[in-house]
Parts: sequence; structure tokens; C-alpha cells
Amino acid sequence: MKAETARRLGFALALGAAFAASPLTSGRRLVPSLVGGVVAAVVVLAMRRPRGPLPLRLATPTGTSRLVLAATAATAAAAFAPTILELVHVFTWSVWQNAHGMLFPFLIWELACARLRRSEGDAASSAWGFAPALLGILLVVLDSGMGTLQVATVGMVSFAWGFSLLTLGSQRTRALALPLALCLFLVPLPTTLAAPLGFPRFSVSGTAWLLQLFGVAAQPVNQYLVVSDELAYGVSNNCSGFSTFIAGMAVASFLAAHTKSRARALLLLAAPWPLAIASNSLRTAALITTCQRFHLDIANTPLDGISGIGALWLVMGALLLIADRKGLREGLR
Amino acid sequence: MIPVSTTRLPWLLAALLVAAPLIYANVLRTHDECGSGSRAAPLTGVAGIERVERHRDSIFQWTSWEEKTPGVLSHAVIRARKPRVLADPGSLAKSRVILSSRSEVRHRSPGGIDLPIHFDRTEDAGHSRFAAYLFIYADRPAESLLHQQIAAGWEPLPLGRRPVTVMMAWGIGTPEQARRLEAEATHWIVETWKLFASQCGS
Repeated sequence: MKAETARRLGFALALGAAFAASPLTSGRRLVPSLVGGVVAAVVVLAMRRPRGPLPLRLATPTGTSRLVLAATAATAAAAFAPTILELVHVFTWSVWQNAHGMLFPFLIWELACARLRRSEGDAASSAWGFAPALLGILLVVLDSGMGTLQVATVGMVSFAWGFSLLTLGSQRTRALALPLALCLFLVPLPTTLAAPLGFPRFSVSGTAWLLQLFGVAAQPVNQYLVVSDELAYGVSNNCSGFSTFIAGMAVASFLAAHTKSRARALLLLAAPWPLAIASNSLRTAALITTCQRFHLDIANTPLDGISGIGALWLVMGALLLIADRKGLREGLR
Repeated sequence: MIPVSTTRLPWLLAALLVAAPLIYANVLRTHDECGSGSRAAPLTGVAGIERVERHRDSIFQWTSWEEKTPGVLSHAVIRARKPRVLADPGSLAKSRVILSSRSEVRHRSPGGIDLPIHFDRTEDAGHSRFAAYLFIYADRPAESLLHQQIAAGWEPLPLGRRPVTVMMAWGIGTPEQARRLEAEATHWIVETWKLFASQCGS
């Protein structure tokens, strides 16, 4: 019981620290980061009740086997440390890029633990695991020279898949297929993809429409909203809602996997695109209106970032409302 | 209890022990055709620009004053050790250019090398904005940094990471002013490339 309590405490503290460092608490401002981190840890501790008859326990090998397992894990951690540190840097940089990166691994971890608790079979190591594991190592080595980060992240996911096959066997790796697949949402995508997906264009149109409702005349010209002779607000790739969309897709995929109804699952997967554009349009319209009313300089107000955080949580809340929450609770038990 | 097998792990451990030193060698070592990514002394000779410290993501920048004055060309040479930070050059300019159209002009330099100069353009009410830029991977012009990074593949392994450079000129003005500035921008980029090529080569 003590070990289980320590694990729960460890999980809550790690999640609290990740939340504090993430751009969702503004990251670089000490007080909101600390408050956000503590609140997140307390909420997680309160929510993660003891799981009764289904604790997750790995049969730790003894003797030489234990040494080999520990050495492999430590060497893998050391080899992948530069990629992981770079990912942390990218994930904590700004709410406009990969904002879900710090917290999504915790959802994946919860899901993996839940799947392992229910899985059966012996640990018949599968030699097929060498293929993805070695491919993963090769990709990380290659990317250490290339420096794309995307290639190295895909490499780490491939390695994790191979490692699972080698240590847990093929049956349990099948049980882990979903959490392993969800790891691909941790590949940092460039915001230049926002324009081909229509985010700046639709955000500008949505904002112009909302501004009309608020009584502010604004003319959409390309990716700019021309409010007055002095103010032309540009919706760039970064602040077009793309980061919210990616975070939404990651969470929607997680929620859809725990939904019994196929129609609801499809709705969840289709929802992030319109929700991200709608929330970003609302954010931009509110920002422009507020800055106009109080004569604030949009470029130099923290309201821009704060409204980005708000838009992201709005989408997460909407997805949770659509989700099959009963199925989610059962799935994570 | 979930059983864990370790029978095949020694082979995986061996592979990781080979890979780890290679990874660290690549991450810690850089090879710069200009001598040093932080100095790149030859570029300080480019007319009209001076060095500006910009610590974000190891960016080193030489730039003219970033004025938003209509009809005046601004320009910069930006070098970075992390190519992804230069993925959207238009956003690096203070009066950022939010892309609404893109085109490419190919210039053949005196050395016979094609210079793919990209133009990002956009317009708001009454103003045309553009950013013209040339990507350079290590010591050669590249159409796309990501494609060039991947195409280079094994190349950095024996030498270490190589910095990337973007030569960029941008401006804002009436459509007529913008057309004139675009011609000036192309000329400036070609001249700056000549200086770079004469002093930074493998």
C-alpha cells in the first residue's frame, strides 16, 4: 500500500511540475506557474483513488537480468536525453506551438498502465522487436546530425515499440498499441502547416464576423484584419489556432478510443478543426475589442498569450463534453 | 504481476552503447564553413548591416535597423544551429510578413550556382509587404531547409552539425514601392551570397 501511495504521489508531483513548466500556466511567470502546478498535483491526487484489486506491478527480474534491464534502460535514457531535452524546450516554448506536449505523455502513461493491468499472457520476448528498436536508434543517430527533431521523435516512438516487444512480448505490446500510436502526437509539427489547413484564413473570416456582432468594423484582407488606419491585426500561422488544433486532435483521439459509439468517436475526431477555428476567432475578436476599448497595444500585452491559453482550454472542455465519460472512466480503471 | 523478459536485451544494450557516443559527438560538435557559427566574421562586411544579439534558439543575426518605414528596404543575415527555427523566415522580421502568396525566382550566380530566392507576399489595406529570402544549408543554397537536412542524411555524422543561414530582405510600401524594393532585395541577396561564397566554403 505504501508503494502504491508513493507511486500516486510521484505521479501527481511529476504532473504538477510538468504543468507548471508548460505554456498552459504561462511557463515563464513564477507565481501562476507555481499555483497552476500545485493545483494540478492536488487535483490529480484527489482524482486518482486507490485502484483496489488491479495494481500495476512488474515482475522485476533478479540478479544479472535485473542488471541488464537497468543498464539498458539507463543507456537508452542517456542516448535519448538530447532529444528529450530538446522536446522539453519546444514543448515549454509557447502556447502557440505544441502546447499539449508537456501534459499529453501523462495521459499516454495512464492509458498504458490501464491496458497493462488488463492484459494477459507470459513475457515471451519477440525477436521482431529488434526491427523497430534498431530502426529507432538509427533514426535518433541520424537526426543527431540532421537536427530536425521530428525524425528523432519518430525514432524514439519506434524504439519504444521494439523495447515493448522485446521485454513484454507480442501479446502485451498489442495491448499497448493505442498508447504507442498516440506517442506520434508528440512529434513537433511546424506551424507552417497551418496555412495549407486554412487556419489563418478561416480565423480571419470568423473574427471579422464576430467583430461585427461586437459592433467593431473590421475588414478582412488576406490574413489581416484592418480595424483602422493605424491597426491592421495579422493572424499568423502561430496564432491561427493550429497549436490548439493539434492538441485537440491528440486529446480527441484519446477520447475516441474510449467511446463505445462509433458516431460519437467520429464526431470527436471531426470536432477539433472547427472548434479550434471557432475558439481562435472568439479569442481574436475579444482581444481586439478589449485592446481597442482600453487603448492597449496588442503586440505588447500579455492578453494575447492568456487568450491563447483560454482558447485551448475551451476546446478541451468542448471535447470532454462530447466524450463518452463513462467509457473513459472504465477504460482508465 | 506482469512478467518482463530480459533474454534479448544484451543485444539491444550493445546497439545502444554503440549509438550513444555517436549521438553525443554529433550534438556537441558543429562544423561551420565560416569558421564559427557565433562569429561568422565575413558577414560583418556586408554593407548596411551590423550584428544584433538574439539568443533565442542559438540565432545569430546581422541586420539593418528593423524600421517599418514604407519604401525602405530592411535586410538581415540570420544564422542558426537549429534549422527548424528558420522554417518561417517572414515571421522573424519585426514587421512580419504573414504569407498569402509565395513565389520563387531563380538567379544564376557568377559561380554557376542556382540561387532559389523565395518571395512571401501579402497585402493589407493600401500596403504591400514582402519578405525575400535565400536559404543556405552549410555552404550551399537550398530550396527547403528540411528537405536539404534530410537529403544530407549521413553527411553531418563525420563532421558534426552544420549551421544554416537565411539571407533575407523585406519591405513595406505602396504596390509600386514594393515592386522597386523587390528588385533591390534580389540584388542585395545576390551580392551578399557572393560575399558569403567567397569566404565560407568547405
